[in-house]
Amino acid sequence: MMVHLEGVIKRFGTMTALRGIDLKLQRGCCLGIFGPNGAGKTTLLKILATLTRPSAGTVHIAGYDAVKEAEKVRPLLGVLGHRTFLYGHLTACENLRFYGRLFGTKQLAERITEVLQLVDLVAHAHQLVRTYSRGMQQRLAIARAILHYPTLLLLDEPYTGLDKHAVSRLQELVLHLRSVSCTIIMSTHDLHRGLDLYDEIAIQCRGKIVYSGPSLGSDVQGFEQLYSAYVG
Amino acid sequence: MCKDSNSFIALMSGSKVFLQQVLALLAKDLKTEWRTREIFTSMFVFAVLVLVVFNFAIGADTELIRQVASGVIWVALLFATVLGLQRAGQLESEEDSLQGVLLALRDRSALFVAKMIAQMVYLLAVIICILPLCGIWFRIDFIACIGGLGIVFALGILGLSIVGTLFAMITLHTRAREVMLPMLFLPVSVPLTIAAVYATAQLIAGKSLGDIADYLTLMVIFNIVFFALILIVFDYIVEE
Repeated sequence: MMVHLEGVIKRFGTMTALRGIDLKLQRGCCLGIFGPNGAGKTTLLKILATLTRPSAGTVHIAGYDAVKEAEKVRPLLGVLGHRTFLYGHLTACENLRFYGRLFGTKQLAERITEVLQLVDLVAHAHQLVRTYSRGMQQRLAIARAILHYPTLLLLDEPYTGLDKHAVSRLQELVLHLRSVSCTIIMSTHDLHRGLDLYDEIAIQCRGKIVYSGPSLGSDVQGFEQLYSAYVG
Repeated sequence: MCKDSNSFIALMSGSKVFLQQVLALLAKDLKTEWRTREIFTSMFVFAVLVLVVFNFAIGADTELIRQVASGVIWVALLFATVLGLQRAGQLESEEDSLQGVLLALRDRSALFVAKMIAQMVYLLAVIICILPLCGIWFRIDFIACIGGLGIVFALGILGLSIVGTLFAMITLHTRAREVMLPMLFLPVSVPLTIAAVYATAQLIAGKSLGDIADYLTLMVIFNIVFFALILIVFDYIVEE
């Protein structure tokens, strides 16, 4: 089991963001978490990313307790958040070299070229990131997230700022990562994009997972009906 | 025996990773600063402005200037530290880069150590630039006591960087960051600043290092206590 959450609750003062999340995900699976704004998707991903602790419940990733053994979990994770985590005054290459050094990535120079090729940014490798368009920054953020060969990739609204071409490149990348047994959890409120990428889907609403089951494939209409039935 | 040697290898390997991460973070900070010069410039200009204002306020009374010079220098450094920390924090929060860094660190105290060293480098650069100006404006011969001053400044900027980095991290995600940082940092750094001011004043007055041993001891204890405390609690501090 790659991811195992039991009774995860997260409170921020008097506000409860997560109200008892149970989730199991096998290694190599791709899970899509759908839900409206404020459903707690980002909070759930932040707990999985060890960026915040749950108020109650347990989180296990690759057999490690994500709270007590966070230092063992972090190298396994690749995270793409709402923001890019990039430094505008460094070039794309320098940003990736910096993160690669933090993760202790082997043969870093070759790996940087490889991930830049995957996101179509080789030609802009030595350009300062602050001169990039939003879409280019998002693509570089994807490169940063997969740089250190993560075994669990957490993607929070990954389509933000991407044009049509970049979306299809991201989907190709997800398929490639799945083929090398990388487990992927992607949160989104976009019901139309890449439905056939997922092995499993979950619908989150008001801090709870109200539906979870196998993917409906590319049946967008069927999924919209299912989503409306649970979210309204 | 075997278990002990395995633990030792794990410890050494952990230390190597920690050192590599500190160096990567420090190199990134210094490279960014070298390109933008935002932090140093704001710290230096502010420190010079403080010196100029005090210079005009005190007037031409040479004896009075000699008495208050050490206080003026440390006040300038104290406020320059606040300014530098605020700018450094802004750079980290622009694209939430700090979260990306936290995800990559096994031991998050590597971030604290790197930020602290970077702050020390900026403060050291400011001191090197303002001391000659102080010598001219306040008519003080710093060369005569440069050895002792070096020790006092080293302990002082270490302490300011330790405490400053701590509160910069605590206030990074607070709403009234610009207000909260000085409100937390300035009162806590008072013992260190008082010791530094008195030690500097005594050295300028021609006293030896032996005469300021009490102040130096206080500064060393301050630095050790805060450094150890922060290493223990830093993981909780940077968590949301």
